[in-house]
Amino acid sequence: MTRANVERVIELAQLAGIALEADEAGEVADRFYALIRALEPLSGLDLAGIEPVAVFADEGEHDG
Amino acid sequence: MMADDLTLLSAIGIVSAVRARKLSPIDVVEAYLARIERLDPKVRAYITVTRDAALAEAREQELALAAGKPPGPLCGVPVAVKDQFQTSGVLTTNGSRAYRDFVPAEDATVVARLRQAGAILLGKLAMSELALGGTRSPAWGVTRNPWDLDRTPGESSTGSGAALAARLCAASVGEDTGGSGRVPAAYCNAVGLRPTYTRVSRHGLMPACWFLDQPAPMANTVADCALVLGVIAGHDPKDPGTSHRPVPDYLAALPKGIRGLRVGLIRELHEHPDVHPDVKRAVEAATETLRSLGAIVREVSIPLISIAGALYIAIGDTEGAGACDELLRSQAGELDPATRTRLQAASLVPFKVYNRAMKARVLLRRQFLDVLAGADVLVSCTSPYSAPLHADLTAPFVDGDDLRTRFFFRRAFTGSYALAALPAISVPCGFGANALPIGLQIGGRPFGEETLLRVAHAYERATSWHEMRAPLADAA
Repeated sequence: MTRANVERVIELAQLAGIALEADEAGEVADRFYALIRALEPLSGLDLAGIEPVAVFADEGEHDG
Repeated sequence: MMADDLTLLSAIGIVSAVRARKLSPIDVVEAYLARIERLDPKVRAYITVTRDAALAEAREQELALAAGKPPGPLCGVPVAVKDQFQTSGVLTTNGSRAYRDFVPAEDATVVARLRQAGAILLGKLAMSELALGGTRSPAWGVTRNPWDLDRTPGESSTGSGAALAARLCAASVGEDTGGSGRVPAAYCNAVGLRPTYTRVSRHGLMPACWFLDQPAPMANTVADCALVLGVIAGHDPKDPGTSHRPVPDYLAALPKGIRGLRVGLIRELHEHPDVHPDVKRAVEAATETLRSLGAIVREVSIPLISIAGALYIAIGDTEGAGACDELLRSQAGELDPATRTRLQAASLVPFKVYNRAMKARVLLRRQFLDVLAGADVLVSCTSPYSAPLHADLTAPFVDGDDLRTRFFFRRAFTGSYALAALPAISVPCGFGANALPIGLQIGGRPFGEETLLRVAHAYERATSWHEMRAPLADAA
């Protein structure tokens, strides 16, 4: 993890009102950037017209 | 029957014997309490043992039976629940030092329904902190897998898996946000079911991710799991989101067999290069068994599963960080370093990324439902490998690749069903060369629990994996 990435994560955390332990900032940065990298395939998905859903409707609920 | 033999009975066996007055609830509870006293110092499945309350309840049941009062469907069954469920007057820690003094005033609906059905609560079970996983220094000690004490019983319903394997309870209810009930079941040679989201009330369940969390019945047999699900499922006015669908008689569906049933083997999970060869072999043998029972097995593809592990963390952890916002700001020092850094990292995920992950989740569900239009159930391994060593599970991550293999990738197996809001069950399907249990995951359509249980039961009856007992469980 580069120093610049760790510093960016510390800055972001401050904006979010979260105090990072000095010796844990590197681990938080590792986790954050690994997640962002793992999500890169999202940019190749056609998500146009899709509404995000938290709880899916139960289409058969009234069928008994 | 010797006291220790009583703990070999299934939950259904206990109910049947208690109803017939061949067995006293007091004897059963005493047998379990004696076993907990003897073995739990090694296993550490329990955070709290409610010894006196359990004995008092057993005595009360004995009197009620003698008076001819009709017994409930779980009459006399000693159960224990994950410490994520609130219990009236009993410490509820959510696996965290931050809740070490929290004693709720009311039972979670799941706990209340277990009690109403006649179950006897033995205590509260260990769990990974805040139902997340990876806890490095658990506040109440390291919970050990009875199949190998150096290994994890699986996360985050650690105590549920361990207690079932060591026969320290007859049935349990864990919780499954992204696999927390199914993975411990797989690692401990038990059965664990994630019901369809809204099938079981979340009232009184301490949240990890409110729209993914589901209470998860866990047991040593499929029939016991079906029995517990039937008791805890159904609409709850205290959780208005719960489904109004009637609760089927899950037990009645079990003997129907699976001839002609269409089974899809998920290619992306089965062919992944990181799946251990022993696990792959066990799943292939299981599909052969299903074929021999009359099922039609073919390979299916759900392409988005390849990023489901990362989607799960982006969504589940980000919501979890939101739910724990106050804790992160004011009591971060109380949290285990793994919990703290995981939630802090999730707190930084940009909204637009979260939003796109939520949209991709909808696509993932569509892919599942498209495949399920031509298949009755889907199968894969529950976990790509058997129970890891504690030391490997809790070691800090070395770099991004380490995170990918140890953190994101494995969550695709169980997290994909949670994201798609579909039910899935894990059943024992063999052992690796390391003599550790392997789980077969069977998933299905929304509210298709009956079918999952039917397939799992047919498979269980055709095999003997569930009869194998952990070495610790055999030690008197």
